[in-house]
Amino acid sequence: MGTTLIGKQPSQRARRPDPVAGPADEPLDDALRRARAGDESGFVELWRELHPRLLRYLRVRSGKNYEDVAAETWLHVIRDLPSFIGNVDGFRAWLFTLARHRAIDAARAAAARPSIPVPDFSAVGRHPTAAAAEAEALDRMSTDHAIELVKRLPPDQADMVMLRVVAGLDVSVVADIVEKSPGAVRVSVHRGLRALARDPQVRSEAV
Amino acid sequence: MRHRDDDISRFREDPVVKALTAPASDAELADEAQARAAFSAAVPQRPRRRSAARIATTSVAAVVTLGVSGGVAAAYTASLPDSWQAKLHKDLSSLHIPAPKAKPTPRIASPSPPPVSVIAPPTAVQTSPSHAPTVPPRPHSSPTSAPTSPPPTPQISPTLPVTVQTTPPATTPPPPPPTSPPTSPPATAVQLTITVSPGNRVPVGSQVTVEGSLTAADGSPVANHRVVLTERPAGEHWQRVGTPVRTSASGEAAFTIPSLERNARLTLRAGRHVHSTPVRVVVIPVIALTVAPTAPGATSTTVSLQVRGAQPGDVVLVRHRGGSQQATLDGALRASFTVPVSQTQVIHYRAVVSRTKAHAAHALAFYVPASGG
Repeated sequence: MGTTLIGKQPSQRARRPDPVAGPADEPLDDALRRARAGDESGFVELWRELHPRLLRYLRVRSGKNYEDVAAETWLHVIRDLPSFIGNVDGFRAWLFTLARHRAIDAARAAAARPSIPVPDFSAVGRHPTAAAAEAEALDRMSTDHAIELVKRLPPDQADMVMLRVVAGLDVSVVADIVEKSPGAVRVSVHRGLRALARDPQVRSEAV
Repeated sequence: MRHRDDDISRFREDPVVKALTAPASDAELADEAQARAAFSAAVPQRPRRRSAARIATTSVAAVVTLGVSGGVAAAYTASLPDSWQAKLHKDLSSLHIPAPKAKPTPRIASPSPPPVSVIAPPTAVQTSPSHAPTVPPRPHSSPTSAPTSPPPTPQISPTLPVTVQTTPPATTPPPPPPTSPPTSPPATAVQLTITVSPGNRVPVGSQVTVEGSLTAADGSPVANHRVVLTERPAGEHWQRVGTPVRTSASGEAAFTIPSLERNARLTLRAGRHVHSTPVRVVVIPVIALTVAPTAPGATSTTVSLQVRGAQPGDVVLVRHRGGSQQATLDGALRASFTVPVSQTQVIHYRAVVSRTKAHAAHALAFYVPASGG
């Protein structure tokens, strides 16, 4: 049975399973508790679980400087983590809310300051990562392709799809973040996913 | 159990959803070392928090110990925060427990020069009251300039209006210090205002002047009254700075902090119940940056920077539209980066020091010339 949780803090919301491929949150709750206490291994556990999702979300939301935005988001998290109260659901909502605000700020700054294309910054001083296996490489291509497909959706709809599917946030949490009603979020996400499923390239890959 | 609003479970097997929620790749986890370094660098800066239960336990233990041995208890309670320390000795004054000595207040993750005492003998305050004493630079591990005896309690009302001014200091020189012996303040409400100059945001190492004005309820200045400057550096407790001074005939008192090295809250106190509103002064770090000369045709160069006013372990970013790099400051407050060089055009960067509790954020723009290869 569903419950309406509008107006409550993320930390007070009822726990519910990730609808698609959500992580098992119990170990993450322990990791969050340890990270708040200053345990580095707890923080790394959180980071490993959430950073890839954050990067995928920001690739849709923020564009090419998504790594920069992600780094700033984590710095903010590290700074304020001791004062965070709540479980991992609340932490996930907090993380992606911070990331969204950072992305908006970055977009405004980018609009105010035209850029000059330069060589790939990230390639300097970094060893290239070899693919572990062909299957993994294919998966990566598929993920990249999926992100590109999501980018084709209207921005608000793509934002909601990523928050709902990739970040694994509840409808009510996404509604709070994007400042829309839960019903509007539910409908928009549903339509977005249906549009993606109808994409000819996706259908051909599925076959 | 599947929730009713689990409206996207039907897309679980959709190729796009499966791709979006695929396991993380090595590339997505490539920055783990940087995240780990940023976290470990931030942890030592977090102030140690005492839970209410722990404080209560410590206080109760201190009370019990005081009942057994005054000398041992005084040594033990010296580990309490100043406010708890004062309350405990006030409540137990009937037991004739000796007051604890001033305790050192080490700062976290900072180089510790040899302790320097800034405590002036009590007689100096009485016989040669300097109107604007210069407070020696307080090293991070210097002992607190706590008094060796409880401060006098003026006969004044506990309900006092307080105002804060941040205007520049008056240009007129302060009047000479009074030569008459201390007199009791009027038994009327007083107002203690505080003025910090040059402002609430100062570069690291700046001299900060704190001026106070003590007035009675009718607006008349309260002369020859003892005023103390207290400071709460970021992450620490309130502590007294320098020696107390007495107000001039115009009711003014001034203090000078020659070098402010980290964020702090400042307040003036004139007795137990009279104090100004705390004023926060934020320290802006200073970035010194060097770009190594680029050889013709070079594709990268080294940028070295040193941040004065930061703490070892603070995070520094070098940002560009194409991305950013991050590093933590070492013990000498230095960090270095390898940045790309274009062969045809100048590339502009920004070195950014993130805000911490000890200092404000600061950014420095610089550029790397084209290598011309």
